Parts: sequence; C-alpha cells; structure tokens
Amino acid sequence: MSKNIAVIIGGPSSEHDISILTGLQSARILSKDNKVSILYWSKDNKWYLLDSILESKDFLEDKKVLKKPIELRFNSDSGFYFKKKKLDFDVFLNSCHGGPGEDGSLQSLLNILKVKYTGPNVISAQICMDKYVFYTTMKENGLPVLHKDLVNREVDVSFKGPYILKPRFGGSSIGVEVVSDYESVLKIVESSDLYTEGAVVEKYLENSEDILIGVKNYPSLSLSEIEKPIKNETLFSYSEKYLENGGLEGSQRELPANLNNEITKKIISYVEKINSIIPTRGIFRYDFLVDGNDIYINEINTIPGSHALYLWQNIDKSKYELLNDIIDEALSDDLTIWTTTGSDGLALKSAKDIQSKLG
Amino acid sequence: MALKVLNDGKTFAEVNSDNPTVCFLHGWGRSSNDFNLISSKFDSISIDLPGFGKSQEPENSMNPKEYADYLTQLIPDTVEVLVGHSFGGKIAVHMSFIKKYKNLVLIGAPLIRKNPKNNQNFQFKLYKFLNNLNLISEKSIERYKNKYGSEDYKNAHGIMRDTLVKTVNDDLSQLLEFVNTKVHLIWGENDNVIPLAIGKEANTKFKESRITVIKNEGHNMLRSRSEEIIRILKEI
Repeated sequence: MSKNIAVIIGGPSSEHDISILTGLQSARILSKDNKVSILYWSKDNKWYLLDSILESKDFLEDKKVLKKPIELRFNSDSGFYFKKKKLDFDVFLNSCHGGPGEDGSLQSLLNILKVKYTGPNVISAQICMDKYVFYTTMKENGLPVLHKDLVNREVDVSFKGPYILKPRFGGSSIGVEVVSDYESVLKIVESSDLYTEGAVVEKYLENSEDILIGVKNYPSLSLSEIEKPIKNETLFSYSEKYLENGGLEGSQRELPANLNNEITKKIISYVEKINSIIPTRGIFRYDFLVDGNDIYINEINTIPGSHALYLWQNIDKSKYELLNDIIDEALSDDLTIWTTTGSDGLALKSAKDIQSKLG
Repeated sequence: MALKVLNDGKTFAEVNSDNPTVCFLHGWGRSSNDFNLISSKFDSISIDLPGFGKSQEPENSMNPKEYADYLTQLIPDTVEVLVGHSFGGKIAVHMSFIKKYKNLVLIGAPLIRKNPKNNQNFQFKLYKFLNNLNLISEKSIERYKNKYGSEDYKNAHGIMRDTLVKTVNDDLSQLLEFVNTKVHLIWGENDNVIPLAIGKEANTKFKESRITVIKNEGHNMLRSRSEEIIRILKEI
C-alpha cells in the first residue's frame, strides 16, 4: 500500500552532508511505491520542505533548497505546516546522522508532535551517542568492551598508552586521534573545541580490525553480512571514510569479511545479547573490534550511513524491501503515550497559597 | 603513528619511535597528515608546524629561519634526515645551517624566488603609491589584498599572515651553494606552484645534489605518489 513518507535529512551536525546523501538515496528508493517528501533540517537549525528528486549538488545552492520554510504547530492539530497547510505524513524516515538528529533530541520532538518515525527511540539514541554511558552499560552486562576513562586533568588515567582519544559524544571519526601519551591527550583536549562536552580514552590496539554488522528487528531479528572495512592509515580519517570514495558505500571493504567460525559465532551471540538490552529499531550498525581472538563491542551506530542497506547481501531482500520493513516497523509501533494518572487535582486543592510554601 | 605533544607543550607531532631518524616538515596550510602514508614506514617524527594542524600559533610571526631555530631545539638529536615539502623544505634548508644532518630531501620547495619585484601588478603599485600620498586608506589596501592576494594569503590571518609574508620574502638562492648536506630534490613534473625549473636551477647550485622528477604530478603528490617517495627515502 502506498504511503505518504517524509524523509528527514541534514541537521546541525558534522555529518549534515553525509545525511543528505543517505536521505536522498532513501527517498529515491522509497519513491518506487510511495509518495515521498523531504524535510530538510538546515545547518542553522531551520526546516524546509523539498521534493524527493533532488541531487546532492542542489544543496550547494541555497536558493534551490531554502524556498519552502516549514512551521511547527503544537496546540491544535500539531505537526509540520507549509503555508498554513498541514503536511500530512503517515510516517517519518529519520536519515539524520550525528548531532540532534541521532542523539534523542529529534526523537523527543517527534514524540511530542505525536508522529511515527523510524530508527532509535529517545533512550537508545542517547545511550548510543554517549560513549561513556554505552561503555558502562555494556560492562555492567558482562559484554566485552575496551576499558575507557573519561579524560580529566584532575584524575590520573588508569592504563598506559598509546591511546585512542574520542569526543565523548558524536559518532563520526572527527576528533578521533591516536595519541602516544596522556599529557598529549590533555593538551589536545584543552586546545580544541571538539571535546568541550567531554572526551574518553581507550587503549590503542595497533593490530585490531574493525568489524561491522547491520541489525534489524522487524518483522524478525535479521543480521546482515559482516563487513571488514579496509584502512590505509592508522585510523579512518573523516575524508577517507566519506569523501574520497563518494560516500561510505564507496569505501574499500571486505564483504563478507573473512572470519573464522568461532569469531563469527561470538559476534552473533554478542549482537543478540546487546539487542536484548538496547533493542534495535530501524537499522542499527554494530561496530566491533577484533584483536587476534579477542572481540570488543566498540559502539552502536543507530542511524548508519546509507542506513547500512548495502550490508544485506546475504538475504534475498532488495534495498526497497529493507527500507519498507523499517517503515512498517515505525507504523506498527504505538505512539508514545504519557499518563497523567495521579494528577487528579487533589494536590492542588489541598495546597495552601504558594507564598506560604516559600516559608 | 601517534600524536604527541613536544617539550614546548604546544607543538604536536606524529611519532612512532622515541629515537626517530627521519623528520617530516609539511607545506604551508597543511599538516603532518600529509605524510601519513610515508612517515609510518620509517622511525620518524612528523611535525605539525607551529600555527598548523594541532599545534598552537606562535606568539609572534616567524620567518623560516626562526622556524628552523625553534624546531632544531624541539626535535630529538637522533634525527639524521629532514624531509620538507614546499614551505617545510625551506625550513629544512635553514635547519641544515644550524646542525649537521646526513640528508635533506626537498619536495617542491621554493628554493629560489623568481622576480620578486614584478609580482605586484600595476594596480597594486598604484594603490601603494596613492596610500603613500595619504590619498587612500590602509583599509583600501587591505581590501585589495584580501581580494587579489593568493589563496594562502586570503586564508591566513593575524600572526600567520605576517608569517606568510616573511616566508614568501625569504629568498634562499644565495644560500644554496653553502649547504654542506647531501640534497635530494623531488619535483612534480607539472608543479604549477613551484615550477620544475626552480628545482632544476637549485640542483645546479647545491654542492651535492640530485633531482628526481615525478611524471604527471603537480605540487601535492605526497599521497598519490607515496610509494615512489618511500622508495627514494629508503635508498638514502
């Protein structure tokens, strides 16, 4: 059945541009059998309505994308409006990467607007965006995770370098550095504004490899092929990851990754356990580190580049069907409901005047 | 390679050894990252020059000789080979006068300044003339520079803009014959920033030097031709 879908792209995030690529691809795929519009969230935090047939280059010219500003309304018939007319969408596909589109902020807004959307809910988005909270959650549940310290000049680091330094929040490789010693870590953190919200360090494992796997839960748990990206230098630089090969999908990779059965089995069992703690909604991409026979869960990307559609080469489903699954998942979920039970006015009636409470 | 803050507490470098033998110096507006594919193949230190990459800006503008003085203090004594690209090459030449190194490798470096006086066009000379007569303001001169200056000039601000001017004005041509270090020049055949002719002319001035021309390459080839540059460095 044809649906009326809005794809949300952009957002004030360092991955704004990559989100445009993910969103335009998704809009094109979904247009096959649906009415698709694009809601463009600009770098300066404004919202615009766009057609689904745009090209990425169109976003280099403001006049092509900033023509139709959207307004938000809350009290009567809440939602998105263009020229006083409500935009009636059945569902929103969230194609934002990083920043407020992936950290729970957008999810909160959509909850308050009482609309249905794909991808992580508020809590999963927040946990996965905060590398320290994610680490402690994994550790508490007995999952293998590399020890992390919060970077703080007042407290000594608990292990020896070299370190990988990462901003505490944010999922891209911006601000991720291999650093030889802790004094250098402190100097970098103090001299850059990439770490103002905090930073974490973990041990740098020189010979470790990244292993990625896509996960979706609708209509039933499905794991993608396992991918091993190929890296040239110490770490993926931002340009290497995104810019030099026309987006994440164009990077060099081993797919499926050549792994022994033991490791593959372990990865699958970890995915299942993590999925029971932080349930995947939409398509998540789990990033593992494999160091010899040791496996560590590194992070979960709740809205991965290209929605990680290219990873599912192992099952007989097209990209359209994969996206359609996560759309159906969003439609099948109930809207967030908040209860007011317990606030029946009794407390207000029995209260004395406010001034008397200030005592 | 891992980032490390050096002894001054404000200059960073990519290092992979406590006793590096090769030191890499990047070009104007670039960073140690330029050498990533090359530096990891040697016991090396690849500097983020003051004012670039992660390193803090110097407190006052510096000419290449002052960069050389500063870096000589900062890098380990174990360094035997200096590899400088463009601006970094200029610094490397100055460093070779302060301390003895085994080899200098200079890639697309502005070793000879061509026609410095004719660089300014007529309109700019006129502006300067009128400015001297107090007929137009410093601001107009500044606007002109911002509009017609080189990309590097437009992108540089404050201390780094003054540093750039000092760098461009620093002419090494009279010094090259006094360099007592073996020099290996590497040039992109189609370098349109520092033309090959400059490399060839410089090659005739050094006491002991040779030049390798890399076909079909321009000024920036540290990534695209990393294999060849590694091979040349390994031969040294």
